[in-house]
Amino acid sequence: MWTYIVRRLLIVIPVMLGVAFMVFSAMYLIPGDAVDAMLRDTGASAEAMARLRAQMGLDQPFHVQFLRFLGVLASGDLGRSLVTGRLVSDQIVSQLPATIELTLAALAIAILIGVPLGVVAALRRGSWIDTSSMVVALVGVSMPNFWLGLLFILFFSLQLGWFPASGTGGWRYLVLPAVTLGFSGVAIIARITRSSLLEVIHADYVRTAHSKGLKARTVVLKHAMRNSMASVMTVVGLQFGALLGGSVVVETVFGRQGLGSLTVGAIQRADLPVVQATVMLAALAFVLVNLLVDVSYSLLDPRIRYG
Amino acid sequence: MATRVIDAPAGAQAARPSPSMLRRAIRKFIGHPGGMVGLGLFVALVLIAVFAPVFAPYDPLRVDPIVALTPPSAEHWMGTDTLGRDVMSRVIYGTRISLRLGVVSVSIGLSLGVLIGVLAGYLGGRVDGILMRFIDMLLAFPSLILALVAVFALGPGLTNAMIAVGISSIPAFARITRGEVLSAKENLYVQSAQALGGSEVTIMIRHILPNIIAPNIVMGALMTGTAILAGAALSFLGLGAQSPTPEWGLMLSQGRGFMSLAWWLTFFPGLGIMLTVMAMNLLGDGLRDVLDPRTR
Repeated sequence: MWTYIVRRLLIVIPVMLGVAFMVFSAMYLIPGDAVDAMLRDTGASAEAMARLRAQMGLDQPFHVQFLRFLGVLASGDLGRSLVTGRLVSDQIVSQLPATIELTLAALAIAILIGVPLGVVAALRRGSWIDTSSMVVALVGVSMPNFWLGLLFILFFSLQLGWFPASGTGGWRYLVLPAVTLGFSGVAIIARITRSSLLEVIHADYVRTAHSKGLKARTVVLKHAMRNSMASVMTVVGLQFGALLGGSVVVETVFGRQGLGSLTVGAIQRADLPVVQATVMLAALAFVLVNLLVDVSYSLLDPRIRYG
Repeated sequence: MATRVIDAPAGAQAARPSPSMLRRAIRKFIGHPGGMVGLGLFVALVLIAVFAPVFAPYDPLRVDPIVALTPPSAEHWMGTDTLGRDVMSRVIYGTRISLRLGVVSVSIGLSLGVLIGVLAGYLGGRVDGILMRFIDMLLAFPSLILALVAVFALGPGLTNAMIAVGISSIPAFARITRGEVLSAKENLYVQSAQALGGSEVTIMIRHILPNIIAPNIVMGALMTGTAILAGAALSFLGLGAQSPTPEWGLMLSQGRGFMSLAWWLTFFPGLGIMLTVMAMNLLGDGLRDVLDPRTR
């Protein structure tokens, strides 16, 4: 078990090196560099810019710059924002809690509503519950979250006044963004739960469990669910990525603090170090969550550990 | 010599769907309510996009400050925006942009993804290793974040948004194609073509490619919906289409400041996105049920 986890953890290193390479190349391709971004409006002379470029090592060839970039990353220094001059790490630390709060709340909503909805739909296949939950699922995957968020604001904030339309703070500020972000997850998780449960529900071992006289509830929860959870877990892992991407949009819609709005702001202002850092952090989080999902398979299904 | 093998009846039958198979698939699709609804919606949207000048009551860019922020009425079914532009005309023209975005991005993702998948799956070995590590790198990013990085590198704009969304859809096509190629390679007719000395390129094109068409059609339909959503999100964030383009995501973001005054500015463009994405999802699900041998 532990060797399996360690082996999987080791794979994270080359993947993250690849991520760093891609992010660095993307930034390298941008016409104009950090010096342009910093001094564009100051009317600095070409020599002054060249001097700063040499100072920052921006005149070096690609591979030298990339290796230095890795070295700096390894030392934990993410640089300073070109716009605010603040340390990028400070900015991230101050924005991170809001995004974690939002993503976890959305994930919880997606799982706590999506799984039961899918189970009920599978058990009552063809009933009105099944049909309507699959319609909800279709709407959920087709609806842009920024539109859903705006509709929520229109209805629950502007019309009913139940929740604030924007800002960051207590739970009242969290409800609408979390539901907005979690809604498509509900849809996707409900669909996959339904279909993977339907696959096993007629399996021999489930019939055996029934014929042993176990309660229907026990059969579904203990026997059928355990086997169908692997595909649900995969989707939950992938959903986490969708949530990270979605948080960018949802934070913008609700004017919330967080990494998402930090990223969008940095992209709009061409704030290279901030974009680099937030994007790599998102990738790292996504990779680690999927690793966690892989490890959880081996808990659900012992065959994988030794496979 | 090699091409003779390909024309042998056994190879042809296994690789290409016979007309009766196609007919069966069509019949099955017609009996699929979701798929038919999706197809109907999709055809309607294509017609709206093609004949936008006929359907749109006004020029989508015509500014008329006197009628600014008129609620939906007989003259302006979906109201007007802050500059007095007709929202319905803009939503109708928006269909063109979103469908084009979906098609262009998916074409980029599909062609590069299939190329990578075929090369990796067919050649195997080191080529497979290198290409799949590249795909793993792309997969390490949540797809919208990947699109954000690409659009940041390329610069904001509708065309760049299409490319960015296209890049973020490469992994989906590459992985599905590689999987299909790996299983197709095991077919007897492919192995006999190889044994008879057929050239790699000929075998790839005539024996392997037909096997990967169906799953890629399904994936293409589903990814078109995803691409339209992602493109609209980029425009909503100000990184895609730029003013005054009548793009749905951009219209939403421009209307959000006036929500308490003019709900129609955000309602109708969003509805447009949802219906289009829904059409693609229904169509994709229908096609999968018909074309995927596992559900047959």
